[in-house]
Amino acid sequence: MRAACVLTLAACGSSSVASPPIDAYVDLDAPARPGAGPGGGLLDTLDFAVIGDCRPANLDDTPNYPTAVATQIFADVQAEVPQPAFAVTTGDYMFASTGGTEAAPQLQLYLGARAGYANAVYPAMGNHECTGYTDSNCGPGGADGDTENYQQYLSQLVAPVGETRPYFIEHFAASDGTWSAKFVFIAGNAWNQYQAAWLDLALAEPSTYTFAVRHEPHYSETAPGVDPSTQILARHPLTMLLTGHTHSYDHVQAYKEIIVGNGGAPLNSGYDYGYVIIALQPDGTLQVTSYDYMTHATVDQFAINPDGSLVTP
Amino acid sequence: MAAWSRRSLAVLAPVACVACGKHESAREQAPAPKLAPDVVPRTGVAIAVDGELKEPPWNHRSLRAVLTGDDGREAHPYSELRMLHDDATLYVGLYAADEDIRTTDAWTLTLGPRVIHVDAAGRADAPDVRAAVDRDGTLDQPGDYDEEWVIELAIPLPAGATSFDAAAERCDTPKDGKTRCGRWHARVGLE
Repeated sequence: MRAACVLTLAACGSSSVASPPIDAYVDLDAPARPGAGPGGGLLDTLDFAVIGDCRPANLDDTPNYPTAVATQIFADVQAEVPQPAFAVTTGDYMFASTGGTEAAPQLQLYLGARAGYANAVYPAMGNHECTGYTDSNCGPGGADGDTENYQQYLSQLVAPVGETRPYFIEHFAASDGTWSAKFVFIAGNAWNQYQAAWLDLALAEPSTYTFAVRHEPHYSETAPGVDPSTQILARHPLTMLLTGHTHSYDHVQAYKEIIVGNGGAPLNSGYDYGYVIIALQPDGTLQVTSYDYMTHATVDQFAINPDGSLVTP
Repeated sequence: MAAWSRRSLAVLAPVACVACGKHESAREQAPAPKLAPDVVPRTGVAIAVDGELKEPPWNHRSLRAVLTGDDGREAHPYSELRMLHDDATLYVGLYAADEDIRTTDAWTLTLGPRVIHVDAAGRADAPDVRAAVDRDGTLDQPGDYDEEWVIELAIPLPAGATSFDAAAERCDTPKDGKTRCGRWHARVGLE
């Protein structure tokens, strides 16, 4: 079945798209090695961080990149007990003009701050990793092509986790075989027919927990991949959708979604900067906790079942 | 209200503009000395009033102030002011993070004897002030989430003005319904 799908994709591809996604060919099992790394890994428990948008307020404003906030957040995550096995980030790591030279130095500042956290970090793509506009579309088949921001994102953030495209999947499984989890990273600003087909395949793989990570929330309909990916997500089991874009924190249970966009970008609500920790509980539910980055105060906390439904007390 | 002052700012002389960042003209490409925080730097390039603070001096030279809340910490939602000037004009950039942009959202800017209101539609209430807005979000559509709006102002400077009291205030009501305000004030001098 998978081979048939791949053949169909290859036959139907437009001339602007070079090849079908490699992940459509490979086994979707978790890498058989302990710890989080390229492709995922085997873990004793599922405990990870979610960190949001991190960019300056103004275009090309590298001197005022929010390095201090990002540094504090990654230090906080590093200090969490137990320490999260990995982190996912929800996109927007820069605010750089596509014709300029500030993308690389802004990512260097980000990576400098991120170095305070020792474990793997898997980066979703934001609109600022294309042109900056929410409706922009980069990559093969995209109207905006391969911008400098896009290329820097791929080379500095994506390549280190062993991926080559802005959409990818990471597989984790319990060391004792009691659960499996897949993290499906959707690039709503590098959307094309192949990503759509890949997403449908990737989500079809059975797993105990399924997390989708996409920069734009459900309401950001101008992003090319939001509505199409929302429709695909609706056809498959989903534990939680992790998004950013809005520089705040929010829990939208109707979409099984948390918005984590308060990673250093200018805050546009009453919430302070912070991050989220999602931790597996002994009964198989997941506890979701949003923290303030300075006080470690709990901003919000709730628990969900593997199917994404809310655990009611 | 304090008036525009023509008092000489001798203290500023040692930090006169030598450079304005790497994107500016060759004449100004030497390392820029740090100015005191209450000095409005002179811009070395022409500023287009279009709502986009894209000219390099906005990032590399401008007086930059982050508004604070009643607790003295960075205001939420985030608000930021930047200033530059040339011989005849004070340029003001106002950044407003905002998850629900409304026409009624506004800044109040006090510059010496002048009080200027400018709203998220890009309208200033002074006929001699040029204003432009760049919005990332929708105006008056509470059903979605917005990101930010930026105001760029060009305000005529009185001849010979060298210093003045400046203040800025912005209040906003995010989707949680709580109105929060950010404020800033300082005595500023023109480089």
